Amino acid sequence: MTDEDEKAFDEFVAARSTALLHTAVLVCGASRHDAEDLVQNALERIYRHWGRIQHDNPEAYARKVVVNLAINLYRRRRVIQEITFARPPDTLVHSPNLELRDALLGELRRLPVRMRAVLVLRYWEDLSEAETATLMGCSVGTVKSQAARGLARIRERMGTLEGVRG
Amino acid sequence: MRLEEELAEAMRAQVEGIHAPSVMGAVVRHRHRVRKVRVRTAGVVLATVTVAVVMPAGRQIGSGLAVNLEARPGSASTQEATSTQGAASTQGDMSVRVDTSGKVEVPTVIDLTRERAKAVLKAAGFKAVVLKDLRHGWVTRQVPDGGQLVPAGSTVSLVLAAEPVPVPTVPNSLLSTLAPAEKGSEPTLRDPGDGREFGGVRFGYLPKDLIWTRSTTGVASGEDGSIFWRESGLPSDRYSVRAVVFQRKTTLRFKTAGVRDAVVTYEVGAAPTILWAPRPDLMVQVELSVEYAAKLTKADYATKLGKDVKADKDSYADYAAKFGKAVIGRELRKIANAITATE
Repeated sequence: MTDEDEKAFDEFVAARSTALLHTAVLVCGASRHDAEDLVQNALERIYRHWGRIQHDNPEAYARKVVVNLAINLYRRRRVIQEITFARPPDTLVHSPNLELRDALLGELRRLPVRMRAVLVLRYWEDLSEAETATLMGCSVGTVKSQAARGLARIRERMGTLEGVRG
Repeated sequence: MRLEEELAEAMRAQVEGIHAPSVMGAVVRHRHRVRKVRVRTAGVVLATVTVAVVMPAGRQIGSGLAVNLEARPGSASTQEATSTQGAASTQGDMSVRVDTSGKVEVPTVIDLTRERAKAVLKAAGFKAVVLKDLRHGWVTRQVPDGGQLVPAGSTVSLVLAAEPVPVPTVPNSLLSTLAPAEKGSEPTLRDPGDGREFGGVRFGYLPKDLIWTRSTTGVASGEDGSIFWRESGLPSDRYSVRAVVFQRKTTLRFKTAGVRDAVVTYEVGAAPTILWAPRPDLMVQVELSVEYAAKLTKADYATKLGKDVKADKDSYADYAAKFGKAVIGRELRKIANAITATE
């Protein structure tokens, strides 16, 4: 790799790694340490092929690698993921929305991992249905139905949750 | 607010404060180099084998290299370490970083074999101590971690396992060593019978009104089995309390003097969990679902203050922030304390 390529890679890492970390945390619910490891792993793959992909939307490629790795990690660690899915303790500020938010995240976590990935990509990353489909390697129709089903499931469970509480 | 927006907002809150470390680029390059070295080493081994077949003398070249790597004294200075690396062609890319205070960067030896890890550490001027080992194992954990700056000549502890051992995610400070799964050890889990006995432990205490939902066994991810209980009103795919029994020797060596020393994690949005080892080789993880934990806190609030949660939401939020952890911790410890080994 030329110095210029190296510099471009550094810029890419500086600009994108936090966003990739967020995606990893949201999709697989890994601890921060695991998520960092995962993103480093993804970036290493990107570094290996940097010469080829740097002019061909490296961001989309990186996101794809991270999402796939996150799905794999989640599948390997399904049972212990819940303890690690936590916010730093110092964000314990009480607000009226906190409980709703936690319940929402709880429901999000309960979804199948690919469905959750679709929701993260659509509503967190703000990708279009077509972009999400390309990234997940499925059809636009599948993205539509997975997103709709995921939202419906959350809505339904939030409904029953409110019912139980009230 | 629409659900999509609420969801995005919740996700934002979830990742708030998580930033990529600034050294990410450097770490990635380092990993890339280590990987290249590993591939190259494999190549050298292959080449040596080929030569050995064609011409027996080749074997001596191979063992000569090994001796060169092995025979370094632990106290080798960084200066020597650098020259060793020059000599050992397989390590060409591993440079040693030394900062102004004379501290040296620990090389990462995870995934290397015992011999290679020791050779790499010695070459960099560290002493290597193997804490746990199965023959032909690979390094799964090292303390201190690679990349940390420590005084030259420090000791690096290694844990080896036959295959990568999934590490239960507890704070690093508590994770001293993790014994590798013993070869051929199969989980011996039984069905719970009365819903209290599972995987060689008996749960002497459970919160009232819980019914046994289901149990799972033998998942490949390292935990040996889970048992779930739910409140009688909940649908059968939900649970209120879950316990995971780790029956292989994947036990954390934290203090097990009493249940007071058990690890409790309590973080907003995550299921509160206790890790408790009734015996050194038996670990149980009990966790409450987020909703059930909230319910316990609410019940406690109602009993203690004689007030309804709905009557004064702010006062409840205050109470939960102050005492939620204690209330939930008490309940988790109560469950953990009553766990006994049946075998």
